[in-house]
Amino acid sequence: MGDKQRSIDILNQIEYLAGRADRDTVSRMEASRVTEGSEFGILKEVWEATSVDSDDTLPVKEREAWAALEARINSSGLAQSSHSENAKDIYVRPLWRSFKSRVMLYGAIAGLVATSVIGIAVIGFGKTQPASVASIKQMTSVYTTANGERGRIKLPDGSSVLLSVASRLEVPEAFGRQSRELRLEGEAYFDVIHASDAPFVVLTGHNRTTVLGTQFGVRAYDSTETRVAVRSGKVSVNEAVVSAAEVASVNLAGAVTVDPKEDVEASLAFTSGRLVMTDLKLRDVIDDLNRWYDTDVQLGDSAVGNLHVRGALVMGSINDLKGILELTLGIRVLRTGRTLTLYLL
Amino acid sequence: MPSTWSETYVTERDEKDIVIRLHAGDGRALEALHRRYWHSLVASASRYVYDSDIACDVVQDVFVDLWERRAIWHPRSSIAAYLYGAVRNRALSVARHNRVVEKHRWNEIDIAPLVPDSLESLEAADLATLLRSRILSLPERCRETFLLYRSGDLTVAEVAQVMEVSTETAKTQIKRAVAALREVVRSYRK
Repeated sequence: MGDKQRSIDILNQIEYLAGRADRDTVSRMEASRVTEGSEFGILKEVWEATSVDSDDTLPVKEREAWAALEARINSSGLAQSSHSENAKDIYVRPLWRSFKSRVMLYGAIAGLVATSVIGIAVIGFGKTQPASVASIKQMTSVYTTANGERGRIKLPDGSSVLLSVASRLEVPEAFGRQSRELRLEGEAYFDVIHASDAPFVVLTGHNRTTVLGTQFGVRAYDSTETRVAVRSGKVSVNEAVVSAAEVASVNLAGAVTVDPKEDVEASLAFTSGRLVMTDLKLRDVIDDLNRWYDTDVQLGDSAVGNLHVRGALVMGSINDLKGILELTLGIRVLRTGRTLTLYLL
Repeated sequence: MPSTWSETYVTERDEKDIVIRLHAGDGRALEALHRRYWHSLVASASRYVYDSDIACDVVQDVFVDLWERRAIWHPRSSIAAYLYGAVRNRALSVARHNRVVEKHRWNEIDIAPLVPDSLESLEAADLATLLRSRILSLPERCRETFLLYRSGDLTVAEVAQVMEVSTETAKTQIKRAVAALREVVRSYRK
């Protein structure tokens, strides 16, 4: 940077960028070729990147706001608004350039995020079912994980289950003899040992996912929707066949649809301890965040919910999550106990 | 969209024109102001009240108030300075009120400082996001001053007026903010 560049005050440079510099400053800037320097380039980047347009995060548009204002004033007399003929729209300076509303979340934030928190499931055992028809005593093993916990379960037939956060798996005592049926609430990944005589069935709500031997994930946190992601082999969901590399969702009525846009590995990322979000609105991932970080995430400002999130998160502490959200979304996060309240900058 | 530079600025003559039309009770003048400043005023108000619905209300109140006092209204320096100042005052008083109401929540405010390490590990994040995060961690008045100036609607002298400080102080704050943000760009480029 030459001395000439330094001789022009940084404020003048900013005013130049803002289009506010007087003619004298503009010509001095151009004569001293400050505008070609890399320092000025950095300033320019700062200037351009800090422009804000909250357009897509505002609850209403300017025209709606004006209509509301007009209505409010009219009730106390704006009516005489004389349409003065020389009125031209003079106030038309463009608003700030839009921020990219898509914000990446980077999971592999070394130092910010601890990767260790995989607690093994609490194993409840011996829940006695009322013997209804026959007098066979049925014992069901219940495996549960809390928010922020995951568990690995080895089933009697040699198949293994990775139970994701905030989930519950019921394994009847009879599992592995005539049939292999179990019930899931939440999300789990199954690596099923092949046995042609005993289909492996995962029950979620009213849905049945049936396999002979394969690797797949099932997600059913909400009783209204079950999702099945198949890594290898074939799976039958209710009566529909879902093949490897497909993700199917089952609606409340039990109808199965394969979504070609869904990525199986993204759906199964929880098996490697990552929560992958493929361009979702923040409000739609709050439940997942709560399960992963054992938090209570609140939108202090409803508009924050419209921000897009994309990327992967690994497990960590609440403060890790707070830091990631602030850093990657540029929002303000207030923490009270386990509650995180999100606000726009 | 404006096609020439001259269209993009509110000239002194335009300002006078607007004020005269307001005096005469011309609603179109108020509408022109609304169209021109609404977005940036709402953005500005949100920084005090952290809620875009409340921010919209604050801005609406300012416009209603201006309309009610139109006959005797004379902005001290510029219309923009008046609007930003009025929005700031009203938003601050709303925020103070909320702060009392939600005291328990506000007690725990802690803005995480940006760790240099995390900046490096976030190399792929977009620059705009890093800059916004840095703006968040600036001292409050420094941030406020910079953002008012960055709105593009105010001169340094007008920012100073809105903030009720001397022009020199406003200049210093803006320079401090810009220096901090340039650092972010430099380490991002590395």
